[in-house]
Amino acid sequence: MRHIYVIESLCNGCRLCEVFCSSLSDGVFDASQGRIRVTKVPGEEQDIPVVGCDGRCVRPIYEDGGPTCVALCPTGALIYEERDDAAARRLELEAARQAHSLFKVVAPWKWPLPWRDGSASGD
Amino acid sequence: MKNLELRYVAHVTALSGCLVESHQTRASSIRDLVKELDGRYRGFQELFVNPETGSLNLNAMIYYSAPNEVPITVVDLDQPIVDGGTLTFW
Amino acid sequence: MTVRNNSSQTILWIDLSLRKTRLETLPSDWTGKYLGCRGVTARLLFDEVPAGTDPLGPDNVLFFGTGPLDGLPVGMGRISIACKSPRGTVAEGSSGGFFGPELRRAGVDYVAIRGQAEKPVYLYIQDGKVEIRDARHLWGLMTDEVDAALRRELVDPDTQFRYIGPAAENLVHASPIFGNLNASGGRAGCGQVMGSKRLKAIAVRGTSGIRVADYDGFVQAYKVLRQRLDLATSRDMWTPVWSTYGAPVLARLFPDLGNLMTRNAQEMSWDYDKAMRISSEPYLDRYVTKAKACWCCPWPACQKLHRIESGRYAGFKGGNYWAAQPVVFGSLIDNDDLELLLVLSGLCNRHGLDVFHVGYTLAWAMECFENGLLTTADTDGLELRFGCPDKDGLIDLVGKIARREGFGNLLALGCAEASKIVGQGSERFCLTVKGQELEGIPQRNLYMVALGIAVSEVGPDHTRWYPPYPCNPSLISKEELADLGVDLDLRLAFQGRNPEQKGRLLRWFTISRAVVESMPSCVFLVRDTLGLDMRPWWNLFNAATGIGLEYEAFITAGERLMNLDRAFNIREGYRRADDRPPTRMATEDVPGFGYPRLAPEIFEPMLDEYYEANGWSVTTSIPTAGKLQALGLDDVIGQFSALGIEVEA
Repeated sequence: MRHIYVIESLCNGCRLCEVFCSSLSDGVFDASQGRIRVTKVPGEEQDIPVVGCDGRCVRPIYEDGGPTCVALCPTGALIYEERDDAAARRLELEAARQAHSLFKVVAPWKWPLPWRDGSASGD
Repeated sequence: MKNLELRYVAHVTALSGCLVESHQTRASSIRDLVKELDGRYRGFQELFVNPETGSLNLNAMIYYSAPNEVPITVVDLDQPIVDGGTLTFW
Repeated sequence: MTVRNNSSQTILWIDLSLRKTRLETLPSDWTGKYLGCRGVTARLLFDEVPAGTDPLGPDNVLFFGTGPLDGLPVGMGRISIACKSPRGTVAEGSSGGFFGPELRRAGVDYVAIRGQAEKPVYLYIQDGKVEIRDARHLWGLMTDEVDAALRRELVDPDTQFRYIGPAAENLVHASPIFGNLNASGGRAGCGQVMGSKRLKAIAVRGTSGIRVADYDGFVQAYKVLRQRLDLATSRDMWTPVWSTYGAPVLARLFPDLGNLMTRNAQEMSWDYDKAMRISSEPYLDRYVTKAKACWCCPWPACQKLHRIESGRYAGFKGGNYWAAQPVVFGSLIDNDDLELLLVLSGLCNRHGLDVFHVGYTLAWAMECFENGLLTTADTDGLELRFGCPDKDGLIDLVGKIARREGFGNLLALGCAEASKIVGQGSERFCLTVKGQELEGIPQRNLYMVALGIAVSEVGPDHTRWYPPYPCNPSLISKEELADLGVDLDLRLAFQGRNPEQKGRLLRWFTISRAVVESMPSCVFLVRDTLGLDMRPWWNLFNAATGIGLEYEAFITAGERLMNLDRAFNIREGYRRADDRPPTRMATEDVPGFGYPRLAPEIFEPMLDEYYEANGWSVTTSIPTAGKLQALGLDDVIGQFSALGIEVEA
């Protein structure tokens, strides 16, 4: 079963996830009503999304039906995966970060352009 | 043989692994040079060239200058390159 | 849970002298005429601050404005901050972050502050109610300290703030207003005005939800906007770079083009090895800890946080190394030490100083020093040279500027006023327009930029016309452009050093960006075709408000506010003669590139074209009666008449 997993280090605190989520059921934008909330640590140094749903949006905004928050997250901090694949993603991020500092700020799975990852890139 | 200075900016460094390098080539145009660099940095061609139109990708840019000249923004990938030229890829 | 809409807008009036507050609703037709945010603050400023008002006295009004899109996923948290500048012009700036959405959720769209508090205060706004609270314990705190102190005091982590640092308290020239630590705005004079009112901060917490008039329409329109901007689909060469590595790569892109201001713009090119040392790549490699973004931004990493782990400045933290600093603390002062750059930049943020003011005034002082117009007797013993031989001395000097101590007191005036005191021809080293320091974009190679900097009513402000480049011509046909009312030969308009079409191009850019800032949204996201085809923005605005604005009326709202800004300055006595490039750009060719100086033969015809295209007098720059009537600004004609200001037909 897939769940929404959070990779905190990639969260930039934009709140798109909670703002859009909050509007899906009743058309009212109110972040406090979202089923995902971003906890911000004072000093702006950490942004931690906390997910409170099973990934099935009441009315996803994209036709593929995947979670809206995952689709909208600009950095790739939210992933919708089976547990083992989620673990693999974290390793993928770590390896990519070791290779290129670009992946401090965006996930390799959100980066649409070719990059050198040691194996087939941009395929 | 032409000696070129190649500069890679921002995300292009995630392909090249370096910021600047000297490069020797027989390529006569930027198009040929990009193809050549693709051999070394797989994905380079995809980054810069639209496979359907053969034009420079809309989300990429290349500057080219002949020695001691102000760079131009490359519009035509068939732009010839000369010995001592500098290219900036981003 | 309360829910609000986006068609009516409220204003919270606060008089700090009388300690009185009242919440009102703005006239219902204002959303259609002025949109919101910058459009409304322009109207309010013109109405509420008459000519001759003392900018640092109680009758100046400081406005904070949100707009109908704030709190929705496209407003990007933008706010407009406006007042009369201590320099005499309109002072309007914007910043992002998270303050705007919270203010709207509190049921307040605009805050208008007049008067002066006897002792330092802060405002605490909660769901339509406001308290004026004692801020004596906060006065003197740096921006990061006041942020932390307010957070402790008010507890709720969703509370948002805007605040000033010690520099604005001390009325230092160009001090901005800060929030979310590193977001700043209002360098045109707003921080000083806030300081003059002894207002240390505004805190806000709101719990209302925001309903859009047409939710499905809004979602559709959002998807279009997102497609233009998303990394995967944006057809713009700047999207991948700006949204990840960020603006400091300009250090590597500008020098060879003769675009990089070096050693106070005595040269426009810099040693490439130095440029590489301060570019985004080493910044990301060595110092960036994480990405940061404003409210709902579709880009991953416009902002970042950084930390210096080891060495001389070990432990120093900061954020937002962006387009200003590679110029102002890099090439302009000939510094290639990235850590020194980050420290100077971070200290400016903490003290609440404007990096452009500090960088350009330091560069001015360095050129004075190297020409013997200033000596170590003036500089408290500091060897103030390009190349920054005394790094610790420079670091100390930033604090002295904020505290107006010693040599810092001269620099705290900004270089225009400082050069009047130093005299001896030091004015020619001053890179200012209307008393305000430049920003980072070159002028002698990009004529539209030169014109835009010269005419801007607030002083140099690139956000008034940014970005200065077109989309790829294949994306939009001549016919489509004509349908959209953009009457330009784009090919000519975008030739950097061809004066033709520049006035008309600037007219379009200033109006379209004014529209974007009035919704509000972020002009940094004007990419792909969004700077020419405004329909995605228009659809969002209509879906959010439900007011059914025609496209032409949407664009005209931007022109309306441009005329109100111009009218404010006209009322204060500004005329055509004030719209001019800095002396250096007007009198010196770019060495090594041969780009000619912006002599009158080049500049004046562009200015003529701009005024003519705008329907403003070519001799005075005063909007004509015909133009003002067409915009429904008959009251402006009336005021001008009453003040004896001549208005052409």
